[in-house]
Amino acid sequence: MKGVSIEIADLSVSYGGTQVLTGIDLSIAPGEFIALLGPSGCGKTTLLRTLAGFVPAAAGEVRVDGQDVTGLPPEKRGMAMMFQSYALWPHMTVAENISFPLRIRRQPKAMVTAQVQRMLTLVGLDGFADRNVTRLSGGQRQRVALARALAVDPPVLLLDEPLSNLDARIRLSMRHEVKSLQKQLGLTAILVTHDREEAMAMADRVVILDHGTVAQAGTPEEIYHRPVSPYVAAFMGAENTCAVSLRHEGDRIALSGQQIRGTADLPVRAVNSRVRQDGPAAVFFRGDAARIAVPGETGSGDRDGHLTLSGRVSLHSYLGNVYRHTVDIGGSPFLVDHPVRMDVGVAVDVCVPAAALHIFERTGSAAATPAGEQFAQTH
Amino acid sequence: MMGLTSITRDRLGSLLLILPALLTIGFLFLYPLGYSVIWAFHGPDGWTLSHLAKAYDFYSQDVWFTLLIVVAATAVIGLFSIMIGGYLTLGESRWAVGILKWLYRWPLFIPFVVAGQLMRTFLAKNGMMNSLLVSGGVMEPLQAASFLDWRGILITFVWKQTPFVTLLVAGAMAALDRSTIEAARNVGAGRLRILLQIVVPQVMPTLMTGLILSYVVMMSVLSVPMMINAQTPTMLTVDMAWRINSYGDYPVANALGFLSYAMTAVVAWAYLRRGVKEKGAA
Repeated sequence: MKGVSIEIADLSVSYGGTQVLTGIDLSIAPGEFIALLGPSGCGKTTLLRTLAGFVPAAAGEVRVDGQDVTGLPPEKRGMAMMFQSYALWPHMTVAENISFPLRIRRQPKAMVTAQVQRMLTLVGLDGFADRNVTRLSGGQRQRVALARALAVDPPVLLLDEPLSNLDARIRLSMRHEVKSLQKQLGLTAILVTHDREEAMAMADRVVILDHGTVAQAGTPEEIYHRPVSPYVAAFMGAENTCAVSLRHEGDRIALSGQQIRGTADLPVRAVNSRVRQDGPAAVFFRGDAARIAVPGETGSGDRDGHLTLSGRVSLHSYLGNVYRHTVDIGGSPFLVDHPVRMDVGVAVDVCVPAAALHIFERTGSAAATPAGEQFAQTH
Repeated sequence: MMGLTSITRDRLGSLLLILPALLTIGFLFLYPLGYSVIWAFHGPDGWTLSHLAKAYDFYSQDVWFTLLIVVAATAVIGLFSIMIGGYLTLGESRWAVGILKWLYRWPLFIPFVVAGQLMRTFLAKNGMMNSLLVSGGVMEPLQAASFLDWRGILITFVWKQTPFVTLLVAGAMAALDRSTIEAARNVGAGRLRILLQIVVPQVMPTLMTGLILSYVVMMSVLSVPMMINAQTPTMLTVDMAWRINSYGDYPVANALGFLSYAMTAVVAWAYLRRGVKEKGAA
């Protein structure tokens, strides 16, 4: 079966008086792969479970292929789900797990056997039919779960952090397998994840949730390069932030501030600026988009169209391809990647190209962003 | 050498620790058990099967009666505990689940002898059950019959033991990975199918343990058949009490006891075998 469209209109969900989701609107095209992304507690799993029918909606509607399914129980929705814990039935073999949905539908035995075989081939588990599921590895269990979900040709596949229990290497290959299967079968898929790289690698469109509301929905490129809020910018890795004073000068933007060396003069078209008026603002950028220069050394003159911050290296760690330096700038830590290790205590300039800058209005202090909260999670 | 002595000392220490328990089991359980088996097979002229033959000759009807009652009660208890546990696990109405959870445990706290007395007043010809049925217009007064026979024993056993098995089964069901239930709903399974094909198979070991414990308890209850079923055939416990109290006939009473052991042992053996097989498969 081909994928179907899903329409979520003004959906709200509450758990015992606590509002978990508020006014969610989202249109999903047939065959589209959507990732719901956000930190723990943002409501992404609740949204998925509401779509599956396990959590009742307090208000709003869910329409699948134009039909309102808001009041339907899970067993009547025709949405296949993959669970974080795999949720295989331990008392059944691989084949029995996969054939259970087919047996419920009273399909003839020969058809069930053929379909199970087809599914095993699809997920690369030929010859595992009679294996007990408790004797499989994590990756194999996840494949069985996928085969079981796909056995009845569902139009929609819901994925609840399906890869988070797998080890890193298998997770990377499963990403591509799940995505290529989804494309091959033309399913509509919705993935819940807290891993932004996974979301971008797998999804056609990423939806970032913040405290039960949609913070931004867009292609991975849009979300990554054009975040609409400090929250999204920080969640997508732009965790370095500083307070600036912003002035528009024709088609240029001038930034100045305590932590900035001199005044940065930047072309307005290059910068992702959500600020329309002159005044206080907050700048966000990613550590891998900046580079480190030693003040006074050759090549350091090439700083036009850059924002330059001056500080001292306070820590470095080796990530394999780069060294991640913690640079102390005006008392705040900034994370900056650089191919060469800089010694601790060395005075350095951090240069950020205009295209890597995200500028938002500053409300209160620059610290009033989720950046601090994200620090712990993303490195 | 040092190591060896310290190991020996450790062993000795732990042996000393469990010695009181061992002695208690030995003197209060194993010794009388062995003694009663010997009594059952030993006469003035040495070893004999005559006590067993006499016991079977007199009471073969009661042996089958006992076995049937206990097996039937175990089956019904299993059914009810699955139904109650299943509703507690899969029920959607929060208040109905709450009430059931609160209600079902009550009989646990009532001793068998009190349960027997309760059932006497409830199940008699002019008992509460028939009065209710008659006053409710469900039944004519002339149709009223006493349930104080095998049915009474069965009802009392089921009433008294269902909460015990349900307690174990519902606990095991609650401890299941909920997502295995949700996954079944997600692929389209209804509530009954989930109970029978997903939930019950996963709690089978607990259910079997509960049922076997219940079986053994019911096998050894004296008060209930004595109070509810004052006629023949009756249960072996009543016969044993009768042999001892009226005749001082210990050999036959012990032979009857041996038959009870045998009926229990068959179940225990089946259970253990199942456990070994499962361990081998896992």
